[in-house]
Amino acid sequence: MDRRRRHHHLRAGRHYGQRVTPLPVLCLVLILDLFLDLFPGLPLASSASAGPPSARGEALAAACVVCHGPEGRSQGAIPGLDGLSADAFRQAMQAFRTGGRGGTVMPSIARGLAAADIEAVAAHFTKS
Amino acid sequence: MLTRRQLLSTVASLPLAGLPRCRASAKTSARVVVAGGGFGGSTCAKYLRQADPGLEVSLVTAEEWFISCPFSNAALVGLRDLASLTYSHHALQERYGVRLIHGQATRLDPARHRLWLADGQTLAYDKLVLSPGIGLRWGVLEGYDRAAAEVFPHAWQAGPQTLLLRRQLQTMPDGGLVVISVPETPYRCPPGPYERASLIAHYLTRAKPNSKLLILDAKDSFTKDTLFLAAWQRFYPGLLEWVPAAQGGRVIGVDSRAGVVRTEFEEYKPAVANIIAPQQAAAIARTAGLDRGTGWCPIKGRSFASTVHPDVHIIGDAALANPMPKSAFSANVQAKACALAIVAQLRGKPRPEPVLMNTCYSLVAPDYAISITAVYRVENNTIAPSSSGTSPLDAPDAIRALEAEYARSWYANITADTFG
Repeated sequence: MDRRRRHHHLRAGRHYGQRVTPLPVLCLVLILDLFLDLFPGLPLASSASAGPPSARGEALAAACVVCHGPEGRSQGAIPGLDGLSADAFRQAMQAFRTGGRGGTVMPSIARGLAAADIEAVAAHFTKS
Repeated sequence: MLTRRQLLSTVASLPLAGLPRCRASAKTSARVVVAGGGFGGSTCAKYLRQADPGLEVSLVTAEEWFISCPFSNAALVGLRDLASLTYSHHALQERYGVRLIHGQATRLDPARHRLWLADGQTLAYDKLVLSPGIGLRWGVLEGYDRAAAEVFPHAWQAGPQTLLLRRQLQTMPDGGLVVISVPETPYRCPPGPYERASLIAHYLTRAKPNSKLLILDAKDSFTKDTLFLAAWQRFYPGLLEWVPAAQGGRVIGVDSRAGVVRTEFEEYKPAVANIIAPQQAAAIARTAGLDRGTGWCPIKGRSFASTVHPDVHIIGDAALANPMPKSAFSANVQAKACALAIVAQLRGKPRPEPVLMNTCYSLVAPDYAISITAVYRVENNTIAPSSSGTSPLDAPDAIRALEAEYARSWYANITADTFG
């Protein structure tokens, strides 16, 4: 569920989880939701595919940019990451991991990352 | 682990009373002093300010300019000039609000949280990050001191030493002997001596083809050795020879006045000697017991905090962070992990899991490069590899040429990330 739809869901005072949520609690949930955006580093698992940018995604991306350039905009021969769709990124990384796609350093790097990490980076470069 | 959605629905289902109050402030005011303007220190200062603009971050640099060791081997043989490897820290001040202080950090009082500079200035800090790089262990090789380095340059800190070695290579006669002495690990940039040997051999092959290059090594193996040895056999046969320790390669001393380099069994009188001397953490990182007398500073892999003084963090070449190599890449990612850990700690939050990886490209010829790469994980504050790999031995020349292009692209990108 994307964020806009979820907020609409909450604003309408509909069910969130299993119960009807009273308004003061709903406000707190909204504040907490905002808080999670401000502090994406809270140790939560990444949710849906290409979900919200997370602190883990940001930390991983900070390692990617060493080769792929600030904000994924590369100077020179190394491909940039900006403008890649989350799907294209995910597919490339999975192919590097499984050996379906050759490469120079990327197969080793992809093998060292957890599946959740690949999702987190996909979300980062999609949103940034 | 709880997902964001599960957390929100759990909170939504809780009774109103007893809920924690959340403050939406993302800023912390604390003073962080970063000493060292290379890849580690510059990256750390920038990412600290990016992670928390409320922090007061000062960057102490000994020089107004930083000259990078990566690609200085290319500068040795005229493939680049030093100006193209020289960086200012001003963007860190202008774009990210880092306060720049020029001075040499000389003394540290961890109990009082104070750092002294050579000019007498005292800096108070809540957190100190040391990224001072290496110092040379003068005298470990008999006769190799600062004066000897003016005759037999180490060129392992880029700058005047690089230019001195370059001049010597340019003026030596065709048919002369060049020796490169390589120390035991750990030292800065494990593949660096072998890249250097390759590029000097490339230069000699073209400019002085009757010359000879000997690598006198204190080790019997080295990083990417199979790849280097195969490429040397192909490109520089008869010109470049590697002498491992087992075959008498270990240099034990020099006589710079007599122009002599000594191993256990031989004396050489080379036209040019590049003595890459044994190394240790730079002086400031060996004060206050930070190195526990070992020459390198033990750290906790999760935060790069010193195991001796918890509010002092050490990153880059000075840190004992093996199996990570002492490289610009390592320093850059350690700096980011350290910055995030410091911000989390100042906010009273759990320290995030660090993201540590490394890639080193080595040019064997200007358009022929090989790489080594690894991803690391941290368990109980100990760093361990999750995956690693090197260029395949049988890769076609097109891949080696591509990796040479990648090496140049990597350099443009890491320097933009670090200093831009």
